[in-house]
Amino acid sequence: MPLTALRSVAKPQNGVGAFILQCKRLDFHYCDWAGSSRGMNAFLKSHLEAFARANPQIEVTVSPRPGRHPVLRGSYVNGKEKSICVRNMEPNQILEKATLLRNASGEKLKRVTRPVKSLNESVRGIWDPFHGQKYQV
Amino acid sequence: MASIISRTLRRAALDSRGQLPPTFLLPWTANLSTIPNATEKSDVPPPNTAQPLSQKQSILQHSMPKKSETSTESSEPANTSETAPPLPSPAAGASGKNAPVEISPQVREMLPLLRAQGSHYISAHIYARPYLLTQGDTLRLPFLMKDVEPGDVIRLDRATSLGSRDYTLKAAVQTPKLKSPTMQTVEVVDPTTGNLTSHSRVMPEGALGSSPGAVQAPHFIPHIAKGKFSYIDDRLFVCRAVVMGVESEPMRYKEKTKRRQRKVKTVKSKHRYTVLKIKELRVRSDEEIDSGLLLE
Repeated sequence: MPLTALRSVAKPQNGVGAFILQCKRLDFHYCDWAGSSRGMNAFLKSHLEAFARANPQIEVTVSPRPGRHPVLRGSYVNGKEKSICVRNMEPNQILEKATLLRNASGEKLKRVTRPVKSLNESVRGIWDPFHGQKYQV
Repeated sequence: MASIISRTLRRAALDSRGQLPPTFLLPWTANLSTIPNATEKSDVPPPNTAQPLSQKQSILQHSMPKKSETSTESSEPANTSETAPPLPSPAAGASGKNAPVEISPQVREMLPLLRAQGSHYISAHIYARPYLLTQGDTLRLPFLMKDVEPGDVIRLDRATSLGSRDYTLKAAVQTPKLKSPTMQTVEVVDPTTGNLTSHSRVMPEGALGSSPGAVQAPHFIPHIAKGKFSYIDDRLFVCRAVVMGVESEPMRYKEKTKRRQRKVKTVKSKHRYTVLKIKELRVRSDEEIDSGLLLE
């Protein structure tokens, strides 16, 4: 029986028990006057209701931003924000961007080379020369 | 434990085919074959219907009512059905999923030990790539998985090994690559040349398949990497992952130049990846395996 260290308190990990979507809020900003908001205004009229209904866990707000380009802004559980300028975009493109903000985790984009990240210690333990089958020279 | 032993004894007594090797040949810690001696597969058509992604995962949408896993029969490596001699087994021949599960007695014996021991790891394959996973791990797939949304639960049913600290359940060894009968020629002394001894190479007497113990070479399908891996029987374990969302990498810029030209072309790329979290990883108990494998 190997010596075991003191166990630490289990860390909460999203998805292992319950799953919580990381995006908690989406702001849609539009302008009534400017031409770059034309697609955004069409999106608000046609697509937004279905989008909000399909994602009840996200708080959706719509607010004017006169004289500026239209913007999507997502707020995340980890306290960060992501903004996407959607000027001159078609409603379908804006829907894609909103989906992107919904699926994102809120973390900064990083280049990852190893596919698996683990908090657990190694299942089979660290190799030790003094235990197990002795190596005969 | 007593019930397990009695069950194995009963199975051994009932099975006409149950020939256990002598005890010193039984693997004690590892290398348990999950391939049963006889397959019940021969008369069951492969029910390969509802798998939207690939044959590697069967997706359970948590919003939908859980439907029965259809990948159980088809997940067995195809070569076993061809190589194993189709012996009549008492349980087989009954139709489909309600028939008792054929799992080799060695696995029956050792599986509770693996199950009893603490945390487990699994080497799960997704699109033929292995990932070494434990419960709670984050897996960023090297591709964007289609038709999944955050919160969906995926069952990973392809694995080559599953283990704890002291025990490992490995997939069965691949059938050996056999040469075709034309390659297996035999050298004989040519009888026609009289006292001038000359050797010639001839084909063996019977074709390979004619002798009862012969093993057919697996059918080679190059474009489907069929039989590339053999997997653990997916009735023995449960490994589930939640789709966490989509991540992407920072924009990559690559400058392309040609000689003797000033023009520099900049190529941009930004890939997206699906992130999974291993929600559940456990070895199934004997009762679960016996009671029709479909309790989800």
